[in-house]
Amino acid sequence: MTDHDDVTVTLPADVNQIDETGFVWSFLDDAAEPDRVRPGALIVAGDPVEPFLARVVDIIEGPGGTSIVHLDVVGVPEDAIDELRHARLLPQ
Amino acid sequence: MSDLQPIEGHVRAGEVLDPEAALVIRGWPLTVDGLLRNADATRRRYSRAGRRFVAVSADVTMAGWDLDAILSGPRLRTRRSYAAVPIARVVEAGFRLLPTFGAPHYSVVLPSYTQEVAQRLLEVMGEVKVNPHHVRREL
Repeated sequence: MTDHDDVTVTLPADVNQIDETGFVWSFLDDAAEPDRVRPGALIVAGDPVEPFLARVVDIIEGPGGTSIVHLDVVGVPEDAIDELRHARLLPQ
Repeated sequence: MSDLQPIEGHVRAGEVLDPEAALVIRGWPLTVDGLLRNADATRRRYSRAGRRFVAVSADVTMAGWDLDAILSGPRLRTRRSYAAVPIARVVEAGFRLLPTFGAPHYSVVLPSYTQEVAQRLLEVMGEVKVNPHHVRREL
């Protein structure tokens, strides 16, 4: 679909990594544009090779003044593209 | 260091696994850089016995969680590729497994935060396989 070199994830994250909430988590300061990461937002997370779609659950305080983002894994980006095309919100 | 979260409060107790039958499973990223990024995040947030906790996240098969259940779960079904190996191989290679957070999550404890250790873990994890439960649609 897309060359991996062209993919920019909104929030680098590891889908294997959960915490006590059961959600995937990552540090907000790893995001190139942290303003895009806000509770309720649907974002592309992970890494450029195998990104995933996730809903931002919340952002909590972490060690040393950091912020921790909890992510609810929704699926893969192609799911959203397929649905948007089906709804004719994207070109066929 | 003092405001790191102790991992001890998140370790499940009383879990017994068959070292030859139970599998350690990890989805992509399966690269040295990917493992080190995971371990770095863990050590930035958690401590163990008062020191930074250096570990990589994985799942382990157990009662109620077989390979298919894990690979088709909400997180790993987004992974096109994964690796799986009996826990005995991981332990023999010098890694400790800690049952952390909710099952079937485990932390694979790294003896040190180095490329060599991450490479050794990758080698133990073995062949990267295709996840038959991967949800990706071809567009």
